[in-house]
Amino acid sequence: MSKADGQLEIDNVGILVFSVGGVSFGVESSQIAAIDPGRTGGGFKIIKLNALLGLADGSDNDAGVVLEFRQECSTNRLLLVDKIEDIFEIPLSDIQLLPEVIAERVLQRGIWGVIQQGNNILLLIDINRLLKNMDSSSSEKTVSMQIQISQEDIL
Amino acid sequence: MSPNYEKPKSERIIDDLKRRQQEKEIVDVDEKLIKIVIFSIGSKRYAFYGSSVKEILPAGNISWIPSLPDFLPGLITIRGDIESVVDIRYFLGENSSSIPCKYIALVVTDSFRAGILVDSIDDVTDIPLSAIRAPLTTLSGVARELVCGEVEWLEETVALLDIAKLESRITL
Repeated sequence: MSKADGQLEIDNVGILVFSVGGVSFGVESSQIAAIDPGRTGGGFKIIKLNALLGLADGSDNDAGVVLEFRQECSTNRLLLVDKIEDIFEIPLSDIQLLPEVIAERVLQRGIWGVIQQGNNILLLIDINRLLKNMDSSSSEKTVSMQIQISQEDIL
Repeated sequence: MSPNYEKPKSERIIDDLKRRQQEKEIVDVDEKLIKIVIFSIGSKRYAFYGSSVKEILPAGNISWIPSLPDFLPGLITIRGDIESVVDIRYFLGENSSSIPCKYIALVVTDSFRAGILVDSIDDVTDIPLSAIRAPLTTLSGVARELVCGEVEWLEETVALLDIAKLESRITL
């Protein structure tokens, strides 16, 4: 749907829900290029998402699902999550931004909004933003980004 | 009674005391009253200005968010709205690993909005503005940075906390 002035209005958003380190996250589905349950990665490097988020490793050695994320102006990246939980479409109006008190802090980790699901809150994550911050941290060798992964976290 | 009658001194004393009491009551009625919310955290009592406290509710289910510092335990839902939660014990030098706080005081100012975890709400009362004293210069500890005054409540000195100072400690 587009407005009369040419701006695009988003009515619904596709959300893919996955869990990593015991925490569920939702990602806007267009960020995902492919799902690889066999976690082969096609020989490419796979990054453990739990490491980027500072979460425990919730997957068994051979468990988990590889998600291929589309990257703006870059090759797609492969991230390992514990499992896929759901995929659905919701009205944009059902998404809430994070309170100002915490928004700036968690945005560095790509967490940008929430969806209320009954008594639970689903965190929405922008993988592009998270990976961009990771790349910036690596290239500038700054520790202030607080996103550090070790070689063990890259499969 | 003759016009030259002079009241006994004892009666003049009583009249004078009554007059002073009436004058004091008039002053009390005109003096501005400030509402404060007194709460407990650990073994100590603190207070917020009541104008900043919009709601008090049970702590309920706090949704944890990765990468937040200890004093930001997560989010809660209040009638459909998402609010951040602040563990003020971190700033008061209280043990944050003790019994979980049971209540949340939702504080709202022009620039700050958050749910503050507290153990209990002890009173909501009006006090004269003049009853708020400056904090003791001898007040020590990390809590001193948040204290903007002191009040007497049931023969106990309660530290009045400044939301603006708390905000400056929390926000980036």
